[in-house]
Amino acid sequence: MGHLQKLHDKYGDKGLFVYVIAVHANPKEARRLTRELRVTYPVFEGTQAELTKCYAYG
Amino acid sequence: MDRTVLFLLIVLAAASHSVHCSRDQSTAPAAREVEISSRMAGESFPSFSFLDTEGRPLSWTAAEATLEAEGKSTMPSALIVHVFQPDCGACREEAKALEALSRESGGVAIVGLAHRGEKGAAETFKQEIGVSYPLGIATGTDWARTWGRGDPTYIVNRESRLVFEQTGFEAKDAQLWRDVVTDLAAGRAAQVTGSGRKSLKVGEELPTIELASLVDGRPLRLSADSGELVFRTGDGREQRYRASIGFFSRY
Repeated sequence: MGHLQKLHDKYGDKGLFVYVIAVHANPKEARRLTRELRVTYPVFEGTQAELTKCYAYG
Repeated sequence: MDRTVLFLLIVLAAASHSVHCSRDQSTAPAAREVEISSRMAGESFPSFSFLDTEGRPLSWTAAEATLEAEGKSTMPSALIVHVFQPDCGACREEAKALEALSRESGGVAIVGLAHRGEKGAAETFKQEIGVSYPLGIATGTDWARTWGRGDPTYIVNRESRLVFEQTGFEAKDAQLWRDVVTDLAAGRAAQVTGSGRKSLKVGEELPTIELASLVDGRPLRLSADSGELVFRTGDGREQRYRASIGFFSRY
């Protein structure tokens, strides 16, 4: 996620949308980790999402 | 931070479509597949030898198609191997379905192999889900690096040939497993070589992503519109982009 932050910082205002879909057994823990990393791009909560079931590996 | 990136989605100004799982998503013209893990049906499934959560040997000997588990040696009609990560939500759901299958299917052997995390995490996984089939610890091994990518589930026949591989999980997949192991138990060649559900391709349409923000719960939406990517937030803000890069992440 740190590498994504660099991409976001460098290209975010040049038309690149950077995002993460969080898939974590414990969303509270994922939220804590996300805040700890201080990412400024969007992080979707996707643990139970249909999208995750369709597209995420695992 | 123990981070696992599951999947990379790069979209260049694509059209959008609603999210639905399908076994046939071959909508991209002459697309190049970027599937993470794809093996050929019929490929030889390799031997492995690990310890289970109780410290006992858990091994598969390909040459003899023999499983040693929980102190017993068997030659199952089908072997299902779920290579998983203990902190993976989808893996947990899949393990529940495999546990149900283990209680109804004779002749099929099911094992789980943790390819990330330490023994304690696998033990917690086993206890929380109520898994009764053996779980081995494959973390850090070459076998896991080669065969664990994408948290796959494999079904292997009694010749130690791979007849089915699946990454990801939907509840209806359990019936697919039943069909395959039933075929194998009856000595029929299993026809299924994978769900195909995760076969993302360059040029494939971007699914509209409409989910809450993990951080503050606000609704977020990413979709494609007239060759641009449109990101909308719950407070009505809208921004347009030319390209996106996104990851499913387990942290």
